[in-house]
Amino acid sequence: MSEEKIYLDIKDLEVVYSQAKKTVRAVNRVSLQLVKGKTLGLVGETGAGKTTIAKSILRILPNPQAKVLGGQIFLDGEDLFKKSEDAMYDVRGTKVAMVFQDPMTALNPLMTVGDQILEVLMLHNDYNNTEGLKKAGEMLETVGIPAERCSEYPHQFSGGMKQRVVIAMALACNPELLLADEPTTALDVTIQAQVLDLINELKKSYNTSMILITHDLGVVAETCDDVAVIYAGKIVESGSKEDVFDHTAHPYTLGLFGSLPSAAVGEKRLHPIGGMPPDPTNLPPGCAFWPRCPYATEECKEEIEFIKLAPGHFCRCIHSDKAHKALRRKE
Amino acid sequence: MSDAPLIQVKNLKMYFKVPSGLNHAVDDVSFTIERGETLGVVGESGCGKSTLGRTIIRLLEATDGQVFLEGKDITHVKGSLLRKAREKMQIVFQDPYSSLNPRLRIDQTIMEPLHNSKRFGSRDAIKESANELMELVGIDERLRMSYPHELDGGRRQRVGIARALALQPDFICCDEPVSALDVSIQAQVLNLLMDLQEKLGLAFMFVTHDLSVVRHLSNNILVMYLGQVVEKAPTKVLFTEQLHPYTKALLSAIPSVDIHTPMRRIKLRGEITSSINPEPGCRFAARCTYAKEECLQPQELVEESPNHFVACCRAKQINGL
Amino acid sequence: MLNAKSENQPKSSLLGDFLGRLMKTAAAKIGVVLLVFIVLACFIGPLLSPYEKNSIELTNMFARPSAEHWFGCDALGRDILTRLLYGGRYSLILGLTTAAISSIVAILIGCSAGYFGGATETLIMRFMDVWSSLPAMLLAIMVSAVLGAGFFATVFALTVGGIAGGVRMTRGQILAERKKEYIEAAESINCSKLSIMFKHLLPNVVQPMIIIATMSIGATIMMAAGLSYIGLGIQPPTPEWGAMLADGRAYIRLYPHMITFPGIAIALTVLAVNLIGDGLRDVLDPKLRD
Repeated sequence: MSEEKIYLDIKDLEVVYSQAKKTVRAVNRVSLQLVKGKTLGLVGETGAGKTTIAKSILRILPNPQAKVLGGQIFLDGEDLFKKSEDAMYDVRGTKVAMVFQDPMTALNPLMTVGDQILEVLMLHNDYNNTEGLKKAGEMLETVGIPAERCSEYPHQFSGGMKQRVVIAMALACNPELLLADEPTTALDVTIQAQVLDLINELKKSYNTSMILITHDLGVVAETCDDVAVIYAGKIVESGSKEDVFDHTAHPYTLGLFGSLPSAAVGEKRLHPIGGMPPDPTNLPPGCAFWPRCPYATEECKEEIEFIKLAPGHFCRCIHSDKAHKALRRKE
Repeated sequence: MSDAPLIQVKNLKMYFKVPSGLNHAVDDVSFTIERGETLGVVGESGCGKSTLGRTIIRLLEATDGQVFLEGKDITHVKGSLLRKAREKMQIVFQDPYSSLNPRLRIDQTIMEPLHNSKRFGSRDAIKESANELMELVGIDERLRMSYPHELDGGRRQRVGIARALALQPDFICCDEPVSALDVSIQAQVLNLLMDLQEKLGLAFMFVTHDLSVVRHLSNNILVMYLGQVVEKAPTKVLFTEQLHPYTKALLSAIPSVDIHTPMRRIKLRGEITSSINPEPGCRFAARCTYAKEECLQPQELVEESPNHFVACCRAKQINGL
Repeated sequence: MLNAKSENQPKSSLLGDFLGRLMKTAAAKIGVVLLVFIVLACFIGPLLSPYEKNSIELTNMFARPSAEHWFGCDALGRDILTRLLYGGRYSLILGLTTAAISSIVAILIGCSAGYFGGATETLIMRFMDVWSSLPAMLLAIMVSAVLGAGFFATVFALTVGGIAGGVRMTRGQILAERKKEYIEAAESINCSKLSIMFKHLLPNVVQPMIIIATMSIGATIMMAAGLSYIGLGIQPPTPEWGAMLADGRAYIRLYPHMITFPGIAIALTVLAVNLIGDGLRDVLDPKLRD
């Protein structure tokens, strides 16, 4: 990542969930940086901790099940954890907004779409009703929906259009940071293409910084500038898109690319990552990936620090060179 | 008749009555599947691919048209003929969380079809068979008496596959079998399916929205849109020479992991409509950039090149053929 | 490649898991302790009592609570505590039997309506609509008046009242469960319709019914008491809590002990059963889990 202005700085974030007698270590000392105006792709599978990170930024983690054990989150220089709940109120919606995964449940079925956008606007601005509704209509137009549909209810919209409404709500107050949690996973592929294009356009015109959470490497390739790969609550690789896609270093990331059908073109069998995802209540010591890693050695059971491979490209693995050599041999 | 294809579907129609009218979920679909082959069926929401699968294996009874199994017409059979037919055609479901009875242990789930069939012998023989099936799909011995809630998605899906194999079918309809699984597990389960196909000579109908997966597994592909078949071709041909505008748009919509080749994305107008009370003619016309007057007429599936069928009256002009 | 330690998978049955979680809820703990106490008292207690339930001792008429008669005596000099304990047997058995029969019948009817659908469903549900338009207590009174007094007549009368709600609930559950893929799977492997209904659907919809059945025990005990109070249902000299309340009605000012103790007994039993029902609800409702 270059020397431009750092807008979001997460340092050593640690979040756990308490479940009956078990503790789920959801986020284990994660550090991330997002440059203003850029898009960071946060890639990982279910339970890796991606959504938890997003919710920590907004401070909307479920209480009391979730606890932030440590770390700091700086937004535009301000420490978010030191803010009062009232102050956070001003941050949510205006500075940071979130688009959730499932458009079917993100909208209130009993309120018109216009009213829902209006609600967001009125919470943070001083419009009167008429002005507010007009602005709501404008927001709908921005996401490609005719303004007259403000008076319709969510069930009258398709999945893709609902997601556009959700995006309109998120952008209504022109936030500086947009957190998009798997925004297109629940959508059909042609609709996904439309929504991704929309997100890209809006990002450019509003100059919004964005964190895009996804498990789909194709989506990352199309929309993100920088990438962070997360496994069992830890960032295992981070860098620019070119770093991570062209010079993939961590065995897990390599495994993700390798298990895609497109990586086995011409061959019969696919190349999955062996083994099972780790149990978050009982993570292996050291690097959580070692039980599934073909290059693991005894040293992997110790805590592994980030190793700098190139300016901006970091990898949490002591065997990345071996992994890379193996990849070269395959090619 | 040993040279009849394993599965043959002729002009199959499946319509449902809904409050607002008639849903043409599957509208005039025809194809064959030979032994040991895989037919990929792709399409988005409302295209009817799941309904198609269920109609073929007789979980639903077709409104019109015919389904032939090994040359015999099974479209409307009942009673013991239906039971016999069902033993040859099984299904693997999409959701590993709702496709297993939460109150039965997984070994009980797998033994159930064997009990129902009465041709698998004594209780002990059935237990043995169930064990072999779990071995075949890769379920550890220590997990064989678990309940579904104790297993993760990937393992549950293996149980579903074992259950589908129990009756020794010739054909399995795989309805989005890996869509609900984590990416790193998907490849494992897909490999399992391919291995089983080779070992047991199974034919598959692989229903999915994921084109990269279907490209890897299928011999032939059927592209569906709102109940109609828009294109049918061998896999390689479909990916290199698509003819139908919808197929082109679908393929161009898949995000690619190649960051250096720019995407030439075909933008589609509007939303996917519905197959309820459809107008005659091409159902894709409303969103198609090439649509003209003639598209409002009913479209025929035309064989533009060997084994390559398209339902588009403008296919020749659009593709410069 | 290093091998990970093999994970230890617990093999818990659903029942064991369920009972364990039930006993962790405060409500269930109190309810179970209370109910166990009441059951033991009613079934073992009378054996320890020096008095007979029906022995009349006119010298003790209306005797207030004392060291010899802890709860005092009634209008015929009979020891109230002993009668209370005997009476508890009737109330508990009535409550349980009625709840059990009512639930089983409701589940079977509801299942048939939900699974078979079509004309069967319409017929059953419209019939239930008519049925539930009459208050349960009125229905019970009607049936009891027709069938006369006695234990089985009373059970029948009480059962009749509560079925409609159970049927509706079960049918609703079945409609939701019927769409799930494991039901389609059962069809695809040639399970018979009956086998699907009993082996797959029923066990998975029975949970809310268990809660309703448990809660209904309390209501049943009160309805039985109500029937005896107005002279139907269980007849004297059988000691039944409601009948004892009726007996004491006329003397409420002079000898309050005659209704106080039966009243408390009813209240405590209903409380215990409802607490257990609360605990069950907490455990069986997935949204409240973790």
